Amino acid sequence: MESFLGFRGPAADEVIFDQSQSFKLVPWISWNEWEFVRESLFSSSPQSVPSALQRIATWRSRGCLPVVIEVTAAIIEIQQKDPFFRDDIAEAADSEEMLAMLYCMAIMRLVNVVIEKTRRKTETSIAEAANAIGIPRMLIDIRHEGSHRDLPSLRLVRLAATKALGWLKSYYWEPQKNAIPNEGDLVANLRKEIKQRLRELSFCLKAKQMSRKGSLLVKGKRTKHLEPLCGPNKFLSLMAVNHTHSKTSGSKKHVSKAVKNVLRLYASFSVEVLDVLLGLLMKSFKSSELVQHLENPDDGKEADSIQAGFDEWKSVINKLFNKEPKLLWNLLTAVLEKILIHETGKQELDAPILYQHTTESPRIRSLPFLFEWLVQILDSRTPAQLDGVTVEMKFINKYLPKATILELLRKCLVVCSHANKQLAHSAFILSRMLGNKFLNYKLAKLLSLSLNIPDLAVSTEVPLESNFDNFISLEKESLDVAAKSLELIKHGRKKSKTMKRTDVHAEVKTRWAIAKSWNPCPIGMLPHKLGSSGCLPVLDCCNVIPETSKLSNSKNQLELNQCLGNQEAQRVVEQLDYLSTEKTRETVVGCEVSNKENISSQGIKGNLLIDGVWRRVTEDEVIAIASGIRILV
Amino acid sequence: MASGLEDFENPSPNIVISQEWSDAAETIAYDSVSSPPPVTFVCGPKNSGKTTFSRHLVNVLLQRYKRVAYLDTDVGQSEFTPPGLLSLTVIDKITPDLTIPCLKTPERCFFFGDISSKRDPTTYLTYTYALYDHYRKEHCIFDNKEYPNCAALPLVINTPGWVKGIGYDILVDILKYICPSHVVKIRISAETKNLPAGAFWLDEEECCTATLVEINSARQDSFNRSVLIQKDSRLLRDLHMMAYFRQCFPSDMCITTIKELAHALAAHPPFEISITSVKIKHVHCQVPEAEIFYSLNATIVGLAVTSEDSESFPHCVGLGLVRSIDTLKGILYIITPVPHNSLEKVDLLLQGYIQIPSCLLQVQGCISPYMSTNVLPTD
Repeated sequence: MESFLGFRGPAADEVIFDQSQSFKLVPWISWNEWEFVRESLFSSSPQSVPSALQRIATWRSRGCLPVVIEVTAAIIEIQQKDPFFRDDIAEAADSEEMLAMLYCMAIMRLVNVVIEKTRRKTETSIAEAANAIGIPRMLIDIRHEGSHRDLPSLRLVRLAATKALGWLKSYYWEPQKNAIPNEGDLVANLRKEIKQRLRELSFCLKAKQMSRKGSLLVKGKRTKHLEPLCGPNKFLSLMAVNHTHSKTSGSKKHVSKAVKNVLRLYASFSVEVLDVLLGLLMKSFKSSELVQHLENPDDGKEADSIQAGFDEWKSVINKLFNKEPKLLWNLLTAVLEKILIHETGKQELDAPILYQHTTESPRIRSLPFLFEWLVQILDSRTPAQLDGVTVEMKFINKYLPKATILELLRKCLVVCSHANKQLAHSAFILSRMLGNKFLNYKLAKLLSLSLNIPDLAVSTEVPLESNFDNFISLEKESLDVAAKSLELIKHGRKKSKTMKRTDVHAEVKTRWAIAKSWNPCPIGMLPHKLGSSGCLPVLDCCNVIPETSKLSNSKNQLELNQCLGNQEAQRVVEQLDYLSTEKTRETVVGCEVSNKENISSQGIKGNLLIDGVWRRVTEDEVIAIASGIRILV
Repeated sequence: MASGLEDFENPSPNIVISQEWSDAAETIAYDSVSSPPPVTFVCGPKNSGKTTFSRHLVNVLLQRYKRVAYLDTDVGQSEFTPPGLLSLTVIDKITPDLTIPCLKTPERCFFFGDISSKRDPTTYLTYTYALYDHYRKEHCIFDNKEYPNCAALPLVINTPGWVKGIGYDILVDILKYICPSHVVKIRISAETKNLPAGAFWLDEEECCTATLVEINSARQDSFNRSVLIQKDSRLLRDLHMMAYFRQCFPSDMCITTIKELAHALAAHPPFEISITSVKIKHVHCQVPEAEIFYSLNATIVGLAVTSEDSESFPHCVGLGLVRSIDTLKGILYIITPVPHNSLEKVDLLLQGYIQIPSCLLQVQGCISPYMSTNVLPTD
């Protein structure tokens, strides 16, 4: 079990997921599936046996079924036909001789095939070889009798089959069950290992820093924040953990090795690595500072000092970003997601979120600060403007594609609707990185509505107009958008109707399409939003699957499904639905703002009237629609 | 679409074509000037050099004819296609290196879905006959109305090395159906492993219309014993399959190792196809209907087109890898080097026992869930 990860202890240098582990192609996607089959196969309730047999038949179709499983299934399937084992079957469908033949064949196959695989050339007789792996003698005799003499009697082969099952259990099913690694242990070990590797990296980098600067006491400001965390105790414990290579741990070699270790883990278990890293970051956050800050929110410097808690990890993040820029992006996404999950949970209680002092854990409240901090790192890594815009764009293209930033900005805005200064500021930085002045300007306006952020207003070149006008225009815009998308859908429906009449082949043309976006993931898995670890697909055939299921995410959309089959119209709707498979939120920045101002009527919150149906729309959709409008205008 | 991981410029250094062999090839190619082009059937036991001789023969024929048809019935070690396919390919270029197989897009091809004909001899024969019929129809008529400038093409038929038992029966059936003009029988020194002497496929009273060419295996030691080059056929198949999926990527992309290929495949944006718009069928066994996706996920399928003509069989445009399935969205994700325009016609996914090379599934960082550790070594 332990050897699965090869994780032997904190100081171990061994690679956990090394190639020496022998992998074998199996027909099951997880040990859970195997365990399900084992349990149902030997279950006393007759209803569950067929499901196991069915799954084994499916495994057989994949072509790599271990022969012991095949033989077990064969014997059990024959027993299912045998009235001797069934109370509910009065009379056998097959004659006794047929049953005997079936049993006999299964037993012969068991003996021959299993022995074939294990028999060494020195062992001469089959009986000897069978003895070596403990196959009951009775099975050997039946093989002999059945091949060369009379067909053994049904009573005999029935008995033998029962013995054969017993042997198969002791030879394969039980030992295999015991050899399956315990998943809980695995995960715990994995997380432990990740934490260890990250700490190691942090330690290496710190040691490097120390050796370079001669002392830990560098700039007064930094030490102040580092001390409580990296004070003697903690430091010593780190030293102790890493005692084997503490002398040289600052060397370049060690740093790069530590980075490699982390990235290796990240490649296989990106979700876990992000989670652990997030955990570590949140841990280093100081709640006392936050309380101070919340009591005194206008003091700009306090935010810095809160974030200074994270600075312990700054070099780590920078280092990782150099090697694997996607990690930072995924980390940012993970932060947003965490906030989102937390908020949606809170929202039901109808409490204002991040500023609630009493029940909130300070760690959760640290998330926006963390986000801002990370965005600042990202920002600081973009080269100075000296070399002109082109260089910057090159950098961005290399390390963070534009679409990625845009996506991040979208998510950030969705989360940010609760008037959070840190997130708003981050959103602004992100939009600046995109280098789109128009977007910048609009964002500044938008943000200035919900929050009063003076520094934002200052930093934009364009002066802000009166807030109220903005609301009106925003509101108008969204209404226009709704009207236009309605037209678009109508148009699409008409068009596709006429197309259907005239041209039957129009639909065929787009049956095969290349996936628009694709996160790398192992073959057999579906891509995961964060990183490359992938997630297991659901393979049950759930009354599959009209093309419509893509659309019917919510009941609200039922009416829209009429346009099914009309590909043209469907595509328009899909565009609207584009991101709604992700966790949707009911609120739209624009609409929410308008609610506060009480301009629009009740019931509109988060909904748009499209094609006579109130549909829930998300921030992303509105942005998508808005961009559509921009094209139209 | 020729592709290979090595350089074609080097003429094959390890392959020696004996005088006997080149004489045999010359005889076939320049047999009679007036008669229709030769239809050559190459047979012999395993590792005797059938494929090498066939390649050599094709090259010799290409000196006289512009194009040569090649009917590949060796589903386990096919020449121009990945394993599991029966195919008819038209070749118009000499391949100087005989050591490595190179991939070509066949003119017509069927998905047999196994590496040996033993699981379903009837279907195997049917497909072989259908391919030969196709050759007769398209490339054998002297004045072809559709292609007036097209002369009839010579045909080379390569066969599997299964020459005993059912394998022998299958060979005889194919020979009887095709009636080739030349039969090349490669013999090895272990007499019991050879095909019977003479025109073994004929019934007693029939007279032989074919020219029988009997040659010895290419390599012999000083005692005239055949030196058989044992191939790791499983490894060869895996390499063939990897070379096939390598074609998903532009040839100038730097993919030289298996590891790089595996990573590239994991990151490659696949084709999406709605589950409802294709039929899924296993060609060799019954899959419980509710469990189709358990069976299909992460397997290699033949991408086939149902023909409108109910008489003929679905022909195959290539192989695909079902890299994952999203049952909630109702989408199959398939990686294939088949170009988009040929894909549009595909409406049938044929599953068989063609296994995905496991080295593509277990590269660090993207280990497929079907690669498991802690499996008891039971077989």
